[in-house]
Amino acid sequence: MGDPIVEAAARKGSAELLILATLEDGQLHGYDIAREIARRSDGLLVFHVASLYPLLYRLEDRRWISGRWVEKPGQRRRRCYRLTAEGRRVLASQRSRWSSFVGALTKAAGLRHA
Amino acid sequence: MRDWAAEIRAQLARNNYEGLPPEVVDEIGHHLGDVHRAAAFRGCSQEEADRIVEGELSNIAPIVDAIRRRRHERERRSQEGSSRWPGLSRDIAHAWRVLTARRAHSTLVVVTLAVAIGACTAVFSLVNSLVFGRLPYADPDRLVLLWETEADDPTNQFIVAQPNYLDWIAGTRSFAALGAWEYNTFNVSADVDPQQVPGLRASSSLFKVLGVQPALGRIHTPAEDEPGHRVAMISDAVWKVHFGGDRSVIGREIRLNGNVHEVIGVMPSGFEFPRKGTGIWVPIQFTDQDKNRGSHSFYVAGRLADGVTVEQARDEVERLGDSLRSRYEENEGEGATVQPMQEFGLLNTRQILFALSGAVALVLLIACINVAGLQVAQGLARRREFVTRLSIGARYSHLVRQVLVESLMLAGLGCLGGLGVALLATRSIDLILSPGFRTLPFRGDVAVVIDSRVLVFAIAVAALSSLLFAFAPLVGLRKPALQAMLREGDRGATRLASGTRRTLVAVEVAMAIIVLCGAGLMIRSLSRLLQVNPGFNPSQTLVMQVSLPQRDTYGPPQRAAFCRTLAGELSALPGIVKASAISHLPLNGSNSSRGLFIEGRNPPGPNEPGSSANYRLICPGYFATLEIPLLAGRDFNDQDVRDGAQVVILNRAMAERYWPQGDALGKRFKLGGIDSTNPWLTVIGIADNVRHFALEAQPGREIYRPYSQAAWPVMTIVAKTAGEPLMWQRPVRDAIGRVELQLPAANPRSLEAVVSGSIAWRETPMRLLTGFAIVGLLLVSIGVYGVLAYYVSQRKREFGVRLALGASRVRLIALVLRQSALPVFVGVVAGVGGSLISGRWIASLLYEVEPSDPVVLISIAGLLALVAIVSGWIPARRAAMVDPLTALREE
Repeated sequence: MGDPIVEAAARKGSAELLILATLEDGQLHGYDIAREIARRSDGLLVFHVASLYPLLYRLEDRRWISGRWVEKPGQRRRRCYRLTAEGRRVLASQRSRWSSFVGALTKAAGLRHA
Repeated sequence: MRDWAAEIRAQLARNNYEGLPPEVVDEIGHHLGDVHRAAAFRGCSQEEADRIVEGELSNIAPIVDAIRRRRHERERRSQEGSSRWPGLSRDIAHAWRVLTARRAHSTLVVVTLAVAIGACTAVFSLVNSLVFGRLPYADPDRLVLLWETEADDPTNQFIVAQPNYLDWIAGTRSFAALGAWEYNTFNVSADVDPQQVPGLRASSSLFKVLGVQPALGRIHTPAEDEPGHRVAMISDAVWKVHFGGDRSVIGREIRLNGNVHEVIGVMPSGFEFPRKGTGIWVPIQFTDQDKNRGSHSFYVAGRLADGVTVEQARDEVERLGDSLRSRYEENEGEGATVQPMQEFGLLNTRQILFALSGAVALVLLIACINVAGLQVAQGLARRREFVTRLSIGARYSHLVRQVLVESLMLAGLGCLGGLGVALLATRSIDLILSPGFRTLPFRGDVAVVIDSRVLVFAIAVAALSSLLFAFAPLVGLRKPALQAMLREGDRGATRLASGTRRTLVAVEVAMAIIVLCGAGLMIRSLSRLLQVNPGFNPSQTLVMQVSLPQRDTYGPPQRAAFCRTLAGELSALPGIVKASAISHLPLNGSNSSRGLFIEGRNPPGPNEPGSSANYRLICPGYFATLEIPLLAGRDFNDQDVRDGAQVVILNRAMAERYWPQGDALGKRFKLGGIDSTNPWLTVIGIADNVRHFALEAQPGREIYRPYSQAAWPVMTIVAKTAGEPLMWQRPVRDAIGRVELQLPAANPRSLEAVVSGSIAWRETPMRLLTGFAIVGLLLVSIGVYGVLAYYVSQRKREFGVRLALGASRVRLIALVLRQSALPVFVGVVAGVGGSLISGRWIASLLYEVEPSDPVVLISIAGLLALVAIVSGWIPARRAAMVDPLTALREE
């Protein structure tokens, strides 16, 4: 199986938030999504193909993101994903849910920001 | 670098993972390539990078699961019948590509549908408008016409004598009102040049019957129906032309046939009762001549009283007719009846319209069969494609959907085309119909509008035929059987399909024969009619109408010298060979008849018809001008003056009926009954018969009197010319103007046009039926071609083998043609049988041609056989030209 932290994130639904957030600024293909998440989490959250693509396909089925094949001159054909309007709404609502959850967790469990 | 996509495929194969779509494999392959490059970039060795990627690769099961879940999810959703149809636009685009790729097939289907739907809609709309359209009067269903009839044959109706009309008014309770009228033509002069205008002498009650109010002024009163009142009502058109639409017209003068009348009313725009162009209505003012029970001059209309049905009114009028017959000797052999006004004038037209409806319905059916056949053939040709697609995983429902979209698009295009054809046909209806075909009495020009119910029906039928049969190739395609089908090729399907299609061809041929025979019979009738000798020579003869000033319409002539002056003026014109005039031109639809009493005979006993004859006034030289042979005695001449001996000429039918011994010359009779005060008329000549009423009608009894001794308000001038008659229009018109100042001449025509006009009503149905027959024939040849072309394409290999084994090409052609021989033969036999039955429908429209006319039946059957052979020829030749080697290699 893949990375335990990512697996756990996927189960709790936070992985969805990660992918939606990554696509907020524009379209990316699968590898770049994984790389961007790794970069933003300082290498802590690493998606492997086995965890990334099932998630992407699920989000696509929910019409939160849409993927299409993009061909640019001099480059290989890549499948790129971007947020749909629906996806943007979901991202906003998940963000506020997660931030109140994390706030509550911080207070209740005595977590500290790193 | 390694091809990671290929490695994924290998990995899938090793683990028996199925159904990862190639694009997913591609996508993940790219990803792994990126991972490998990134590892190398970070400084990993080739082996380390490979290991990292292999680690990822070993764990692709979750992706396979996800894709599988995704597919199940989609299937579930589509089975739930979600309101969306995902991929509809893709289906349409695909269908469009399929249809344009098979351009010939698609065009045939669309054109066939368009023609069938369009023709069907146009014809049924015409029928609806003409037969079921409403009369333009208040409560038109309550309006009826009353007729006198022959007691022996109540279908033989004729117009009414004034005393009977009065008895009907007094003796019936079924009617809220009864009104009478007689046709007349008026020379109208007010502010502009004199003009001939059709008009009526009408009772004031007629307007009550019709429920019409004038737009200006008033209707004349019952008191004004008595002699001595010179008043008139005018139509909107006459008001605008002669009075410039001046609203102060009421009370002004209008000259009708030279007599001053006062305008008392202007009728509303569009009111032209009883027929198009009627512009003047004057009070009926019965004359002494009218008051003769033997003088049938008037049309009678009635409005049913509240709660009375047509049948009740008819019963009452028939009973009254019976009692009048027993009371008055002039009514011997006469009855009376009632007819809904709506039905009048439709007798022939109705039958024609129903025959046309039948024909066009058959053409629609033929077209549907053809479309069905085309769709079946097309589908079967694709059966192999469908089988292949099913066996590599396409879903059955998807194929159904694709076929549905394709055939819906075809049907849609066909329907659009059909609507276009129907619009075009109804807009340009007058190019198709002969002049006057849709001008009906009491209704004017009937507008033909597309009937939406008919359109929907035609579209439904045609679209269904294209839809239903498109699915034929999908029937029986189930997965278990696919293997066998793939091995077998299309042969199983061929057997099934050619059976169906041959049956379709037989039905098609049969129906086409019925339509063709209808057209053939009509054409033959018309050509028979054109050969009928009307009894006069219509060539190079100009005819023109004049209305003569005549205070007492049928009394002694005011212009006794009319004939002499006319002959003088016309014979002076260069190029006019002979000229004369008559009150009732043959084949022109006008008639008048008189009862008469023959000197020395007993008055007719009970149940014996009184003597009678059709009544004509002529000028000397009439017989010579029209080349009607004078069989005995002499023609009229200038010595037959008003106050001299009253003379009469009979036609042969009249002489043979009353003086069968041939001794008519010198005998005497008088108009009216035994006690009539009319003068005795002496027979001075016998002329040969003329077909007066119609080319197909046997000549009736006729008597001719000289105009100098008895007047008639409208005379038709006939002039034999030295060339094309219409070239003498102008000089003859001027000459007539010299005969009588301000006498307008109307309606100049050649007599030949009059004759051909009398059969014009036959031309429309003949033309339409011929058109339908040609379309039907074309469709049949397409059908036969389709069957054989398909047969040949499916058996190419077999033909190759046969040729390789030494079969001759001629035998192959015969073999192919034989395929269509049986269905065509069966169709011809069934069609001829059908024609014999359907021929009875149109029998009354035929002239001297039986529905079983062998010439027509045999030539039509031959024609169809020929068409079948010709349309089979191309595919048959194709079969014979097969190259054995190529054919064998192709499979």
